Order: sequence, then structure tokens, then C-alpha cells
Amino acid sequence: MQNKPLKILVADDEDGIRVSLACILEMEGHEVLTSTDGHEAIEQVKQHIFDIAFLDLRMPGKDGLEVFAEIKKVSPRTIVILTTAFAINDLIRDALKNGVYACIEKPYEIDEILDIIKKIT
Amino acid sequence: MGGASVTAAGKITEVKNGRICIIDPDDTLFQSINGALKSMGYETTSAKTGLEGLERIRHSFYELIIVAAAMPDMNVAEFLRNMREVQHDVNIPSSFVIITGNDERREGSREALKMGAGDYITKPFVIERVIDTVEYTFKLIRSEKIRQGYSKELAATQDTVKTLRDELTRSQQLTSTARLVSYMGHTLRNPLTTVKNVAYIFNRMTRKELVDQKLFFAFTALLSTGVEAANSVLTDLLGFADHITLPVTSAIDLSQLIDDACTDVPETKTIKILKHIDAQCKEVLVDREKMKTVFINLINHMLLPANKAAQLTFHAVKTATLLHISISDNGTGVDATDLVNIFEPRFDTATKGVGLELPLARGIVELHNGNIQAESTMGKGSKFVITLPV
Repeated sequence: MQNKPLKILVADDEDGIRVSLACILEMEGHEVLTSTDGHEAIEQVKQHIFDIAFLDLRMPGKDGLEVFAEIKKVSPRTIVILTTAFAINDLIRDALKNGVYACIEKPYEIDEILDIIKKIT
Repeated sequence: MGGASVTAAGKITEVKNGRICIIDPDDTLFQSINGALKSMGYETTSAKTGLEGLERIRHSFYELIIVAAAMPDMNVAEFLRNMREVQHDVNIPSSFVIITGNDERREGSREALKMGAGDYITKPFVIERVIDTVEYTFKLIRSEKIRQGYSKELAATQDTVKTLRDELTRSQQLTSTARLVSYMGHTLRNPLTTVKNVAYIFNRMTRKELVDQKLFFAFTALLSTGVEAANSVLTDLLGFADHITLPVTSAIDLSQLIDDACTDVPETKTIKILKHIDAQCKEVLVDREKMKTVFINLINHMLLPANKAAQLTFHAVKTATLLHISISDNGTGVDATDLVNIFEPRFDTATKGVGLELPLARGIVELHNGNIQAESTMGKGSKFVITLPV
């Protein structure tokens, strides 16, 4: 169980992933909001300040990188973690250069995710 | 033109201009022009009879042969015939033979000139005229050599092009397959992530939570959606693979086939369809079911809501060797970067599907040994052009 509850955004158009990851994070005691695509994610980011945002790289509408760009503008302190089923190395390298905290390939180890969250707080 | 020859003393002299063999029984021609030709850089040799001349030619290569019309042992036509045999691999066109003779009627040389011998000089000759003719003939020889060189280069280049094209096709096929496999592999990772996450959740749930049926069923439902999603990706892939078989062709009425394809796409009822099909396309040799799939997939693509197409136009023209079919729409078009990858498996943002319709269309066209291109102008519309061999 985490000491400090964080406000976390989970954005992924795959229902199963979005719901299961949100559930896991809630089981750790965090407050989780979800979005099904890039547009929704940007709306959420404008309305709430998140400690962490898990963004799927490929989403309909705006993709993970575009949402990240928006987050940088609106809430630069938010830690952004990209998740992806497609390892596009150039894209990932650039994203990390631009300030994305981590880029994780799916399927990921939940323990790895929880470790990252522990490190951040 | 040039070459080097080694003299008896071992010194290499350059033959600047070429080698000439002069065959003349009375030797006057040789004596009068030999000095002049040598000073111009030609290498010369002489012979008194046709046979002697043929011997010379057998042993050495001569670009130019000057032959007397009246040789004691054969006439020029015979000489030319024999020369061709003696030449073996070396191909001197018989035009590079100059004939000298007494008479403007050209004696027995008419036949030789018909066979392609180059020029005729009458005796008594003016030395300048002989020299000019020799020089002119060597110009022709040089041009001919350059032409032959180009011919050889061209043939070699054409061979290389064919080989490269074959290799490119093979590597494109491999790359396409590899890309497809890679794409499918990555796409399956999404539903598998769901399954993995839910497994973790079950692991972590307390006994109390597990007993809560609503919660339990909520998660098993999630597991199901993951499995369904994985399965639909595999279904797409298998559907694709099913079509990648050799086409079974028969004579098809193309116009009718297009109608059949439109019937299978209900959205076509809501738009305007124009057809300009050549009368010759009443019989085209294609695999009916596969080509129908191609049309259905292209039509479906053009009628995606985002494209906003209100009209589809079909053109078909058949030449002696090729069948050209095009489908155009008046939709919003796609920009150049999207056009480049239009036949690749698409991450379909409109639906969850893997988007194998266009790759399949291309695959089928290529199985027919044809090709398909896409063109588009933003704001105006898009066009697919299929070319098939007939």
C-alpha cells in the first residue's frame, strides 16, 4: 500500500487495459481518472492536475505524444509515462529527450510500474 | 583506336591509327601509299594474292583491308566470303574493305559492293584520294566500335536492371511480410496486456474480494474482452492469409463484377456511382472472387465517413497488353505522408480493426501479376489505379 495517494490519469483506447490498470492503481490507494482517447485525455488534463499520467502511445484522435505536449504546457510537473505495444525507437528516443519520464513496452510487469511510482514519490 | 605492338627489338611502338592490309598483285598501290600511311601512324602489310591476304588476316587483326579487284586467284566477292570464314570470332563488317580497280564499271566488284564492301577507288589513283578514303573509313570503323561498345553496355545494363528488379521484388515481398508479421505481433500485445493485468488483479485480491461475485465477474468479463480482441486480430490475419492463394482465373464481365461488388457494400446505395467501362472489358481474365474482394475493400475504404465521398467513378480500358482500372472519389483526400503508407497494415483510428483491407487488395492484385497505385489531392479526392496484364 502506497503512503501517499496520487492523482493518476490512465489513457488507453483498449478497454481491458484501461480498466485493469486503473483498478490496479486504485487497489494501491490512488485516485485514478481514465480517458479512452487523446482528446478526452487533453480535456482531463485541462481540468485536473495529475501527479502521473500513463498514456498509450497510439490512440485515436490525438496520440500519446500530442497529449504529452499538452501536459507539458498545462502542467509541467506531471510525470508522463508512455506505454506502447509498438516499439518505435526514434519516436521513443525523442520523447524521452523531450521529458517523458519513461516509455514502457506492453505487456508490462505490474511490479515494474509500481516500482516506478514508488521512485517518483 | 590504338594498340601497342612490340617490335622485334622489344620496343613497344604505338599503332596510333590502325592496321591495314593491302592486297595487290602488282604492288604499285602498296609502294605508293605505304610511306604516307606509315607516317600517319597506320601499320601496313602487303600481299600479292587473295590466298596470301587471307593468311595475313588469319594471323593478325586488320581493321581495314584494301583489295585489288583483279586478283590472280579469286575475285573480290569470293575473297569477302572467304574472309568471313577466316575471321572466326573477330567481326569485321565487310564494309571496311576498299576495292581498287581499273575500271569505273567496277568489273566483278559489283557483287562485292552489294555484299557491303565500302568503297571503290579507280586506278590510276590519286594518292590523296586513297588517303582520304582510308581516313574516312577509319572514322566509320571508330564509330562502329563505339556503337558496339554502347550496345554491349546497354545489354549489360538491361541485364543488371532485370536482376535488380527481381531482387527488389523479392525483398519487397519479404519486407511486406516482415512488416505484416511485426505489425500483428505488436497488435496482439494490447489484449495480452489486459489478460496479464487481470491475472495480477486476481492474484492480489483478498479472499473477501474474490468472494464478491460482482467484482469477480467484472474482472472475468475484462479477461473475455482481452481474449476477444486478440482473437479478432488473429481472425483478420487468417482472413488475409486465406486470400493469399494462386488466383483461379476465368473470363469475367468487369462491369458486372463492379456491380456485384457494389451490391455487397450497402453504403453505395447512398452515393452516386459512375461507370466508364470499355466494351473490351466484357471479358477480362481474373479470379472473380478475389477481384470482387479487391473492389469491395477499395470501395469500403473510399466510403469511410472521414473521407466524405459522395460519388465514385469507375474507369476501365483494355489495350493489347494491359488492363487499366481506376476508381476515383470526390472525397477529402489524404495528404502525401499518409499516402505513402496507404497499403501498409493500418492502425485504424476509426475502428479497432487492424486495417488489412488495403494490404489485401494490393496482395491480390500482385497475385494477378499486376500493380496498384494510390493518388490523392487534398480537397479534391483520391484515386486507385489497378494495372493488370491481359
